[in-house]
Amino acid sequence: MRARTKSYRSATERSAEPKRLLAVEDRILSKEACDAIARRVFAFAQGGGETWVQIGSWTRGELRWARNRVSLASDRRDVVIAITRFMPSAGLGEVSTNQLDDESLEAAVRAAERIAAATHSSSRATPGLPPQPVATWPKTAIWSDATYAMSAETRGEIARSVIEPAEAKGYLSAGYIEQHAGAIMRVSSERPAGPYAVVDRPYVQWTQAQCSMTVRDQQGAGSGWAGLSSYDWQSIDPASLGARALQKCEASRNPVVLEPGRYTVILEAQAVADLMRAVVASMDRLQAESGGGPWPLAVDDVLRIGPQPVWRTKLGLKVIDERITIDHDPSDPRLGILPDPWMEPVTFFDKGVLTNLFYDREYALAYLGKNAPRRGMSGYRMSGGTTSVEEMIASTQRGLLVTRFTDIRGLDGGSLLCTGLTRDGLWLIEHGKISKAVKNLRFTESPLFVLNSIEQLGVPVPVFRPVRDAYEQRVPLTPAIVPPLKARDFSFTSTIDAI
Amino acid sequence: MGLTLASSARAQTKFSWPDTSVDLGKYTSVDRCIAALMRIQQGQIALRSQTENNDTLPFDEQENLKPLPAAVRQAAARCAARFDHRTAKLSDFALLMELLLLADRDADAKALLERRLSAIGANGAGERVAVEDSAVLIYLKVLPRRLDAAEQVLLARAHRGSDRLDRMSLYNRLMEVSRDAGDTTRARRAAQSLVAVADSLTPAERESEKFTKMGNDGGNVVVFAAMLQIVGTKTLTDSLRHSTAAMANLMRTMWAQFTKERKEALPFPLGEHAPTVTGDFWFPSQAAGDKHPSPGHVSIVEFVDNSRLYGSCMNPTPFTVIPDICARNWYWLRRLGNRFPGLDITLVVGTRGNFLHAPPPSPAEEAELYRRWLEPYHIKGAVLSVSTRPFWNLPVPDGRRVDKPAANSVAYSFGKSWNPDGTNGGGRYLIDQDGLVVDVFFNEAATNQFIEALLQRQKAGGDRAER
Amino acid sequence: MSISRRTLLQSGLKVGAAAAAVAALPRPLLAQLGRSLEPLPPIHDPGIKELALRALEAARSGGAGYADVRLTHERIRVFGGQVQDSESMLVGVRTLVNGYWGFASSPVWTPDEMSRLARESVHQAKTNALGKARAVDLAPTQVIADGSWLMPVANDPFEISPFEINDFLASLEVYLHRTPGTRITTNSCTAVVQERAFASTSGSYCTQRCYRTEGAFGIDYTLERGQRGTIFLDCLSPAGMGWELYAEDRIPRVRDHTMYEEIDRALEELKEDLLMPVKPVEVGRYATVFDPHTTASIVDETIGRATELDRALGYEANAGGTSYLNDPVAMLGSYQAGAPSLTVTAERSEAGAVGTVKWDDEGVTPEGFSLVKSGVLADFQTTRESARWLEAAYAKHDLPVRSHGCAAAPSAVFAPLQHTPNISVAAGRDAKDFDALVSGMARGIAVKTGSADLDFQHSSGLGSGRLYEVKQGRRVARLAGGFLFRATDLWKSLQAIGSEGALRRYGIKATKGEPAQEHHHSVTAPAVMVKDLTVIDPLRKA
Repeated sequence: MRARTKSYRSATERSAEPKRLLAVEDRILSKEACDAIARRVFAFAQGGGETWVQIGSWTRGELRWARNRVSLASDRRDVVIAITRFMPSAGLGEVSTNQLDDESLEAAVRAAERIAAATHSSSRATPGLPPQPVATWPKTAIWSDATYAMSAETRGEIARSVIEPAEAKGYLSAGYIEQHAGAIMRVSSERPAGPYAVVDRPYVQWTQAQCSMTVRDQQGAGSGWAGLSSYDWQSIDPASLGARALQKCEASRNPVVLEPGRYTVILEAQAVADLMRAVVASMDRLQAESGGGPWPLAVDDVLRIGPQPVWRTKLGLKVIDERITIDHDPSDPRLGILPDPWMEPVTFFDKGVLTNLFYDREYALAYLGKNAPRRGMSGYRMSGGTTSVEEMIASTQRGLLVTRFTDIRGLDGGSLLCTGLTRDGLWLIEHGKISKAVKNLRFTESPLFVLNSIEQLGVPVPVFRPVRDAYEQRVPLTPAIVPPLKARDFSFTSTIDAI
Repeated sequence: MGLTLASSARAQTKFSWPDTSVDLGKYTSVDRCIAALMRIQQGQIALRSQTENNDTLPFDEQENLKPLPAAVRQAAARCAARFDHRTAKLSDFALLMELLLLADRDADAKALLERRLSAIGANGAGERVAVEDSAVLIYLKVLPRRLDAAEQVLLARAHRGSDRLDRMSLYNRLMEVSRDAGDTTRARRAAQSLVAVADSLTPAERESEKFTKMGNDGGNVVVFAAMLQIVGTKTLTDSLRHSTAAMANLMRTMWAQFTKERKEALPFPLGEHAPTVTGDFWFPSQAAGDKHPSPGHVSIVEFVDNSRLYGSCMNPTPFTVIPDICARNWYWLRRLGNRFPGLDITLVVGTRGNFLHAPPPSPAEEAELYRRWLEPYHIKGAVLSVSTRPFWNLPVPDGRRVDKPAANSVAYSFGKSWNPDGTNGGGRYLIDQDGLVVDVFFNEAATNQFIEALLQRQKAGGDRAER
Repeated sequence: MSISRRTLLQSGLKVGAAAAAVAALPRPLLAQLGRSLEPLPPIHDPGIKELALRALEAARSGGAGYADVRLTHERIRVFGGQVQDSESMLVGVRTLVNGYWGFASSPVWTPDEMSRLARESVHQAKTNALGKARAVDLAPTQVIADGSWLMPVANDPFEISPFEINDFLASLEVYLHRTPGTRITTNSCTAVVQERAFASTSGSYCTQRCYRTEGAFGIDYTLERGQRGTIFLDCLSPAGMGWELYAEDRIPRVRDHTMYEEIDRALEELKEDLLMPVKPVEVGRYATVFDPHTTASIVDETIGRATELDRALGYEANAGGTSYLNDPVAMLGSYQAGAPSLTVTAERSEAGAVGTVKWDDEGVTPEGFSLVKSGVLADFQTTRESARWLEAAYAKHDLPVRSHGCAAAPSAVFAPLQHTPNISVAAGRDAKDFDALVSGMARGIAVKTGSADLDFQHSSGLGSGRLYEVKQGRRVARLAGGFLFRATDLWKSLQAIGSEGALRRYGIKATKGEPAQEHHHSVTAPAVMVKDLTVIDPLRKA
């Protein structure tokens, strides 16, 4: 009558089990290890129903330095097992643990069942409904052996080599190198056949590396920064980053106050990516068709879809400079979002025309007759030109050169007006040459305005965009390949003290 | 030492669950009590659903008059024991009254109401009305429904001046609840009071927003429903046994009487010819050769609501207490099919280009999915017609699909502002043997009587023909 | 308007008609499905100390001059309709070798793993000890021999039936709906309990159990005429408390009323706001009153962040930035950080505050200390390592060289960093609260539930919040505006500080470090009045 699954095991059986603790060599869990854990979790379930388990693991090698000396070197790792039990005629219970032994997993399953039993539901399976199809997950591996194999010794050597030139010149170097690898898998006990089946997330593992540094003048009179992140450590050249940070520090010393106002700006690629974050977050189709964000156009007087009025959007309209095409290339692992990369070739802006907005599968089925979602703009590549930053400077009568922006906050969703600060290098350009270092400024500007005021474009490059994984529960920044650019009439609204 | 240590460190009391029983007696606020009772009630519903599929049971008129499960009553009593209705804060009046009723302390609830009313000052006529209104609504909200008490308050109020439209709404509520509970006598009384108030409305009141938005479909329909209640199902059925035209005329007369519009202005297609249902795909396929609704048979034409992806007929929000609305529909149709062999049931669907989370089907594939969904309900005498709904797409890159009305939907709207594809569950029509629409409202008891009447009429006609 | 068929005589399809079968409470399934398990030893069990000492031993034999180890067992329970549980066990070993720190952590509590982590930690340290010399001289600390502490809470949220907690949360919604036009936007509560064991080669061993409870209750309110707005209750920020955060009738410095009364007050406040006219701001300089929330937020950013010694000396330069207090040794005791009426103290002992512990994550017993005394910068936040960096300054002012106990890590998988402790702004002498300060203003601005974005030296700020125009002592209009300020200028322009009775405490989550880690601390502040605040239209471009 009740389907009791066998959870009792003899002592010998238990000791013969494959390793159940996170062993030394398991910096991340392999697919086999994840499968074994899932099997054990399913075996512990009692009372019928369906079980989901998500198994995540991560490992990090970190090195941090400040004031020209390494302050901490670390090797850290953890796992997260999230178990959800759906009980018949009850609700669902979610419990997570970071222990892999039998007792812990079984206790977690029991706890999930208790919670499910305490949450009421009398929903019944509707007979005859079609099963949910399994999603097709992309094939591009976001994995680099070089990143995974990077040792503490390597990190130490790099730090020393980067610190040395800065220290020799009497500056203070601070920075951070991180090697990160992770794996995740989500499976359901029912597979796609059951009435509440969810799409399994097959096992995937990934790597990420980042390297960034800040060189400051001892008196705090100047500061320069450079950084890069990538899935592949080999595409990061710490020496050149170090040289750039040092050069910017030297050039940024003793900045003068500049009157806020509208300026022609030359934004380095990092600054462009910083500003674009507001755009990335706005690319939601359902929001636009409800009248929110920058992309709605107008409510149609006549049309209705079902009972809802139809909002026309700016899809198909030219909204930014026609030299700008922004898309996602699924074959480029530099653009993968972790740990759930949904990679498909999508163009978001095609020669300035708004071409695609994010929507989920339900929207696609209901409105578009399609069974696939459209990815959002996280992980994008922007087209550019061929003008180098030096050439842009040379052709500027009066303007400002910006290294990067920080502390950006949205002010108005409809126009994407934002405010934020410049940081780590701001220079006044006069008559085609950098004339002086300038104190940092607060801007109040919209990235859409910038993308409509472009004068020159450079070659697109990857930028510093370390992606946080689910464990840290951060909003992921988005990998990006963007060009430096020159734009007119950029609005700076006040001076700030910080250097 | 090391090994023992390791194993004891690994053995866990993880996620220890504290004593889940709660001492309701220590809940100090009425709000907490109500919250607890909501939870306990939901638990009872869930428990019951483990042994009964409520959807398959015929609607039980007495259901809302039955006492609550013992668990809920005991919990309510435990909670309410803490509150003395003679001294409790009057600001808690509404929730406490509800709590007392749930605990079967009706006399105390009434005393509390009186205490609340007597605290109103001489100039508080508006406040008095508001308190009485809320008391009526509470009496009609708690289970079991307190019809007597609600009616008493309403009748007492009738003598005091108050907003006529508000009073109409309350009588409407009393009428509905009484009718649902099978208390036709009381429903009729409420209906009579409602009509009396309605007759006294000024033209301004009739045009007011309150009136035009009353109930689901406006004040005219509310009054019409009351008139039908007064007339009674028996009279309607007698008239139907005579002829459909007679019943339709009776209804039209009532409509015209109140609205002062022409009889033809009745917004329901009663007595009109039901169009033939068309379809691109029929299940079973041989149904394509026949005419539906079927001449010479009593027929039901039912439009299936597939208008929304979630929260619709097909896909109720998962893990909720509220059962699938549509499953109940199909079980009811099944009961009808079993009870009345020869009843012709036509289910009508227009394609949408999607079916839940299935890959977007061609119309033929979508039709097959509807068949697979509806067939397990085994509705005797039912056929399914699926039409390819015409649509167009907004220009690229928008591309959204905008549906045009399907032929059947247009036909069955009878040129009125009547949408059989409405999101309130779709249109349903009872059609007599001559193809005339008899009923669109549907109430299980009434429907059975109408169909019986139609069958008797047919038999009587047959008997006459034979003689 | 289409007419539905669900009307008139139709009744069979009413969804609400649900009668349930008789059944007993509570559901028997819960007990039947349960299975009793062996308990995890309580954190003060000698077995855990054995593990910890094993790690230290391995570290020492590996060549560490100093080592410490943290084991944490944390449980988190999220309430509100559903109940979600999570639990983790983590261990981290930190070692110091020739002035270089190494750290290793994992989720495995076994003797072998203790040794492995210690060895790895030493290895990490040694890869950098090859480089240039670095001196780390830890300030001395009292040795804690087998200390044990339990944060005192009135109601352990993990010992109370989740039904009771969820009933209470649901009752807040029931209460809210007494008022027509209201809708809930958020209603949840999170409880965290962390048991941690700490051991160091300085000889200390201590165990603690700490609680953190927080919640969110958001209201959407539409008035009769259609004006609509939202508000959140501000008494649910993270606290070092248990379920009493919700259940107590009053909590000093957090709320003076029951939760139901707080809902009433929030609705009144929102209604008052919605009925006020909204005016564009007239750019200029105004006398301004900040409510406690605003004061707390700005003090936290301008003084709390700025006095983190590691930040002040450039250890966060590559992350959050530096501090305007950029010469700590010279500035300690002499820098004028604010008006003489401003005194800001720090501690980790206030009952109910969320940064409260008995011992920090280096085994140091935190003592109260001043950050700003009578307007002058008095000290910085320190750890054992960083306290030494102020040696010259301490000597000059005759202060001991001692860590203030600010080392913290969210769990054992992170290495401890210096994080902000609880900070408090001392109340003023006049018995004034926000309303009283406003009523004393002929013309000016008032700010409620304000906060500020500070630059990366925590000096220049852009403030936002609910701004009001004040005329003749009354708030008469809402202003669509923001304000600009400089930390030191702002605090120097203090005109009045609210009284003891008007102090309010808020729990704040702060993030720093690479990799980023979080820490919670409380800020207690009164309402204040400042002179000449620059008010601007933040939406206006240049």
